Amino acid sequence: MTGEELKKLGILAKIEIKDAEVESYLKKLNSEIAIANAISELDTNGINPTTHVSELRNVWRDDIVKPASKETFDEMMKVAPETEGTFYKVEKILEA
Amino acid sequence: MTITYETVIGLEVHAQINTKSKVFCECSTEFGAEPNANTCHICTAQPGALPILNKAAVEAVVRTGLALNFTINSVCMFSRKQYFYPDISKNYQITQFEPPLCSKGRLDIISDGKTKNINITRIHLEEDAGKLVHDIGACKLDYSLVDLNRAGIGLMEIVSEPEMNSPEEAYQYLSELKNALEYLGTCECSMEEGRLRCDANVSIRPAGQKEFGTRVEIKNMNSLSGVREAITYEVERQKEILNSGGTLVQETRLWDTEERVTKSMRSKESAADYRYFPEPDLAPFNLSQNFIDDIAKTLPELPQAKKLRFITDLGLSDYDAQVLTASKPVSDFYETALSGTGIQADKVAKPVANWVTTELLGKLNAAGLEIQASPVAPENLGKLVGLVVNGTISGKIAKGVFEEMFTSGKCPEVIIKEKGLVQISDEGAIAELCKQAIESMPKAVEQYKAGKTAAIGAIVGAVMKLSKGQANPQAVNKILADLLK
Repeated sequence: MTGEELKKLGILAKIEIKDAEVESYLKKLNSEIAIANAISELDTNGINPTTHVSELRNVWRDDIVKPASKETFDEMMKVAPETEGTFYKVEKILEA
Repeated sequence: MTITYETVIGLEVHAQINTKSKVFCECSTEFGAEPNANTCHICTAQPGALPILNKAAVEAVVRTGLALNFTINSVCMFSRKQYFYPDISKNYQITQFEPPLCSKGRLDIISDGKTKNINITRIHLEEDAGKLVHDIGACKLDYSLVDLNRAGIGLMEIVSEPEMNSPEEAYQYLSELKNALEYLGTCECSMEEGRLRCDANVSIRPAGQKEFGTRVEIKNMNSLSGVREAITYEVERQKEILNSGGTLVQETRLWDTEERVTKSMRSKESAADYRYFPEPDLAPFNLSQNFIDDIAKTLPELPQAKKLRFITDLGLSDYDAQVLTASKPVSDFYETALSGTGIQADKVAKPVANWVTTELLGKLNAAGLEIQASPVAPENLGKLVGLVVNGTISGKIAKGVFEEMFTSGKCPEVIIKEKGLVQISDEGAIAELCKQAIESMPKAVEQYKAGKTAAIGAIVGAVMKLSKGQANPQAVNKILADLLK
C-alpha cells in the first residue's frame, strides 16, 4: 500500500490520518496485507464460496405490518444525541 | 462546420415495491405519517438489530422481472453497500451486487412510429434510505432533520442499457415502464410521492463515433415531463460546451424544477468506493423453479398484449386501443364498462370506447379529475351505452343522461325513469307523430315527392321535436318513407 492509497482509505473510513502518522500506519497495514496475500496464494479452484456458514436459504416472513411499541419509539428518541419534534437532528448536510 | 451529435441516454429507475410492510422489518410503508412514526429498532439500525426479509418483496421483483422478459437468477444474495450519510443509519445499504435477482430484460417503445427494443440490464432488490429535511418552508435550517419512515421500504432498482437516443425515447421508456409496473401492481408509481424515481445518464458523441462521450448523471426529476425536459436541457448544455471548444466533466447534476436547469451537485469528496461485500445477516436465495412458475402463472395481461387484443378481438382502432391501454385505471374502467352493458363485448366495444375516450375523458379532463375519481361509475356508463345500443334511448338523449350522471352520480335507469326519457319505439305512436309533422310541413313534403329526397331530414326533425327527442330515429325514417310513398 502506498501513502496515497492510505490517505484515500482514511477518507472512506472517516479517519483523519496526519502526515506524521502515515509511515507507522503503512508499516502495520502492509504487514497485515502480507498475511492476506499469503492466504490468497492457496489454490481455491473448485471450492464453493462460503460467504455464509449456515446452509439456510430463502429465509423470509409474510407481508404483515406490526408497528414498534411506543416504549421502543420513546427509547429510540431518548438515546438519539439530538432530536427536534419527532425528527432526529444532525449536523448540516448540504452547504448553502 | 457544425458537428452533428448523437445523444445517448440510460435510465436508472427506483420503484418502491408495493408491499404493506418494509422489506427488512414489519413497519408500515404508508405515505405521509408523522416523522419517524413508521420506524423500529431494525430500520433505525439500533445495535444488534437483525433484518428479516419480506417474502412479498422478493415475489414482486420476480414478478416484474418475468413480465419484462428477464432471466431470474434463482441463486443470488444480498450485499452491503457502504456509505456514510445520515439518511442511512446503518452506514450501509442492503442491496444486491452480482448477480441481481433479474438479469437482461427488455421493453418495447414506440419511437418515430416504429417499435424500438430497449434492453434492460438488471433489476435488483434493495432498501430505500430515509429522508433529510434541510429547510422548513422558505427558511433554510443550519442543521438537518432526519425522518426514517422511508428507510427500509423495499425498492426495485431497474437499470436500462444506454440505448435511448432522444429525450422523447427516454420519456417513452419511462412511461411504458411505469404503465407495466402499474398493470403488475408491483409499484404505485406516484412520482410526486417519490414512489417512482428516475436518474438519467446523459452523454453526447459526434454521430458515427463508437466511444461514449463524457457521462453526466441527472437526479431530482420528479415527473415524467420533468425527465424529458431535464434531458433536453442537459443535451443542449453539453452541445454548447463542446461547440465552444470546452470539455465536459463527469459529474452528478440536479434538475432545478424552479429554474428549469441542471446544476452541478457539489460533493465533498470524489473517492466513492462502496466496498460491496456479501450481507452476512441475510440468508442467500436458492429459488425453486416452482416458486418462479407459481409467480409466472399469476402475471396479468400487460398493456401491449391488451392493446393487441383490443384491436384484434374487439375491433378497436389502433388509436382507441392506445388511449384505452395507456394507463391501468383507464383500461380497468373500459373493461368494467364493457361488461356493464350486458351485451356481447365485440358488439358494443366500439361505442363504449367512444364514450370513454371522448365523452368521459373529455369531461374528466375539463373537471381536472383522474378517472379513479370519476363521478360516473364504469358499470353505469356501460348500462347507458347498453340502453342506446338496444334502442331504449337515443344517442342524443343519452348525452343528456350522461351529463346528469356526471353531476349526480345516479345510474342511468333512474334518470331515464325520473325524466320519462324512454325512447318511443311504438310504431302506432310514431306514425301519429309523423302524420302531424307531414301536415305541418307541406313544402318539404312537396319537395320530397318531387324527388328531393334530402327534404325528409326536415320532416324527421319535426317528428323528433314533437316527441321531445324520444322517438326512435330509425323507426321515424322508415314510417315517414312509407307514409310519403
